[in-house]
Amino acid sequence: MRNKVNWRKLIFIFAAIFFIFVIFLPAVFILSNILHGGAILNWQIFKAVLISFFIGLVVLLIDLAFGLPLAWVLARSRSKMARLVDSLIDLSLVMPTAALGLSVYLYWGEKIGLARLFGLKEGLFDKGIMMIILLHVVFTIPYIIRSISAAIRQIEDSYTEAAVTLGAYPFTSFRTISLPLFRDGIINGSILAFTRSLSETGATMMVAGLVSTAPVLAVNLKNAGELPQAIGLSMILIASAIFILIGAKAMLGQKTINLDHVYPRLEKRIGKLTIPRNLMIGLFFIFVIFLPTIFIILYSFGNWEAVFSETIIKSIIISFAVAFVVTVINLIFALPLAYMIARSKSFFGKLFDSMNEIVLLVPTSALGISLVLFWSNFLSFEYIILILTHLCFSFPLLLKPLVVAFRDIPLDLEEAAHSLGANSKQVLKTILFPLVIPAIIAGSIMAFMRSLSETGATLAVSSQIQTVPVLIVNLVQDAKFGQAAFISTLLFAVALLFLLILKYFTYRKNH
Amino acid sequence: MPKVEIIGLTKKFKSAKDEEILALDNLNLNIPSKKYSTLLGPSGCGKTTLLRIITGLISPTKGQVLFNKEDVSLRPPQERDIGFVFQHFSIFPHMDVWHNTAYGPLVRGWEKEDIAKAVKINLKLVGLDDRAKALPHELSGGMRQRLGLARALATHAKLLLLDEPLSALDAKIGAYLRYELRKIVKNNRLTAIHVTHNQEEAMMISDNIILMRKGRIVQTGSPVELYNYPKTIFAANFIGKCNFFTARKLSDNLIDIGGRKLAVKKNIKYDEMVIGIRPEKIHLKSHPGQALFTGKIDLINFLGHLYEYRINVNGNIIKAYKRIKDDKLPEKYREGDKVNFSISGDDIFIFPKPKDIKKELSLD
Repeated sequence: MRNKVNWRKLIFIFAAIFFIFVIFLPAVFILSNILHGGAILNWQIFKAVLISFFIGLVVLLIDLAFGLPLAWVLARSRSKMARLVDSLIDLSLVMPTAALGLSVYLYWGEKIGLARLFGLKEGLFDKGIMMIILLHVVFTIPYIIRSISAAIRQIEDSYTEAAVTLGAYPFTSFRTISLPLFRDGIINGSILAFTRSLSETGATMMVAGLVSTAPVLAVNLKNAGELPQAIGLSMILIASAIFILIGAKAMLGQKTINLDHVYPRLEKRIGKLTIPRNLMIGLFFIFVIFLPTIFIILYSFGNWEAVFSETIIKSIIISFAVAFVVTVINLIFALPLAYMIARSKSFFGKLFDSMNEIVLLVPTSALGISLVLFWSNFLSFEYIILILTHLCFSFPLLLKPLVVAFRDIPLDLEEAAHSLGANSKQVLKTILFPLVIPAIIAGSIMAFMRSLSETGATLAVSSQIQTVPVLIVNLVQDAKFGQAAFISTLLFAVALLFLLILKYFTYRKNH
Repeated sequence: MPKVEIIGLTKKFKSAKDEEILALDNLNLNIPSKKYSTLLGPSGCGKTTLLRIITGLISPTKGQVLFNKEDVSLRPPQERDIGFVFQHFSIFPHMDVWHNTAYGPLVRGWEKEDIAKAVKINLKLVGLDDRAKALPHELSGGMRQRLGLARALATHAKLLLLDEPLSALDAKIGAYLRYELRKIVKNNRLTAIHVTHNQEEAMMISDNIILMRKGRIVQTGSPVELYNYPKTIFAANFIGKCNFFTARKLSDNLIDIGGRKLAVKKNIKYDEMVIGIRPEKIHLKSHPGQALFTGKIDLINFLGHLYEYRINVNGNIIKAYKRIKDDKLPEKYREGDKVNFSISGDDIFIFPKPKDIKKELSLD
């Protein structure tokens, strides 16, 4: 018996060491430049950071303005329409961002896009901040909607019923009861959406034009050989991710509300505006989220060039191989670590949880630069550094759902199995493993897709290796839209397939 | 003040498998003003559905709800001027005791002084006036339900609707709150409609019991009426305890119970019948002679103020109570003893024999 306990400990220690030395330390390694001053900061860098923060904030405001009512309707409505929208929300989340960037660019920026609907000769917008915002809204709003609708579903109906019987009209009850109760969901979703906007590189490059956001600038500086500036910029990005996390966490759990102002008549009227509200969010979803996401496919019909050149095939093989290797390695280490975090009641569980969140929020191009600096001390082979980089940013995506899944398994079940005579290995095989399979699949798909679609970190690691998203960026820069659209559609098809698998398993879990 | 009338009320639900479920079947009901009424019945009988329709939280498939002769069927709950108390309290977790109580007046746009006054009076009423700043998670279950009551009353609602308000509490605390609840309702001349599945609770708290089963009303009346004059086998069985025998008519005033004759004062209407008798009306006799029945004692339960005997008569279990008058009296009977008992024709309930007795006796 003693022997077995030690085995368990050994596995946990091994997983913890992997996490600290392969995931966490490399990700924040760049901050050590504060000590020996390898970084340069200048106005160009501050300007890029300011632009990124501005974009992130505007995007977040738009996300909240439309995401909140949309999440509310999706969580409460049982209509077929709502269920359809619900299943389409995640589309932009799994869509490779470079493909998404191209799709959004073609939709808003070219005359064959939305402009055609109005009979215009040119695209509606030029490349620049406006289009970056429109793009970022597309891939960040799912985070807001998912976190908020999950929070709404957790609120007991009886709270709203209590408010209603006490005389509150729907809008008042929403503002004074529901909103404060799902405040944490809003904060969590906002952290994800904001940092995601702050970190996106590949898609942004498609629509940025002459505007340099922070992660795009970081990649450009690094590839131009301006390493001290790239380091300086990355440090700011990583540090701000940590500050945002700490700041937002401090806001969690504070549930206070100012109840001194209630305007019964006004709020009663607002509550009756459900038809304009549904119309507004419906149009927003169709024209700003859904159509821009799938436009690349519509465009592909008639425009694509199905070219299977050597470069393209090589890119596809590299991308899938990297994604596969990364997912498998991450899974091996994430499982024991997730179990440990979920079952730990001590400080260590929380510590690992927080470290994981930091890695999750670090902009990937900054992460890539940090990893290059860290690993090039030991390794010189770019492919290995690339895999290590992908391990790093996809690990948190896999760990998070696993921790939640293990936490959801009551300890009673394990104890019941033990009391019936099962040993640790049997408990693992017969109780724990079957119960976390949906989370394993969900997490693996998220990690796989993230690796497959990642641009910023890949560009930061190497200017030579062309993964599929990097290839798409390059093709677009060479104005080869047809080929780019073809590969994007291909990636999108893979993403769609995985999304369907994911839906199938979450559906089975819920029924 | 408010008198609640239910006219031809029907509610149908769709189940998960798209089957239609008849939750309420053409109900007609008068709920008197300023009385404490309970909707009593086993789970799934439709009592909570009825309460939620009266509240306006769900709408009926057919029929009307009248408050003081006025049809409120289409009125939203906000405009029904009611107080609702929830089974699991539903105290707003992000507000302190004061703001929870003030919520109703606040959202109705009352003046500040009036709100403060209403909160003060109602918190005092439920004994929470010294906990105004406390947060819900700092309160015990009993306190939370008192707060639920104060919150429901703070809007000066005269119609109080309570959905199993005591069933989530510890038995002792629930029993104590029962008494307080009735006192508050009576002192403030409120009309209360209280949903419960607990017949003891209903007996103790109500002026008026509405006994429901399978979406229909079985019987309404005071606790005394329901206990002493149950209209159906189910009513006799659900309210209090009851023993049942099958019986046959011999003449207008004589029945046969398994070969034993019993004289009855009232005129017998049915040829085949079921008779019921309460355990306290079974007379245990230690020596044979007058006894109608003989059985074996299977089990003796000591209940403090009385003994409950479970007597096996040819495989049927008959319950009998014997009061404990004097704690010095030694227990006469032991488990396994043979015992004789008799019943009087004055004490029995007579019901027509149903097609399926088991179905009538089942408690759902």
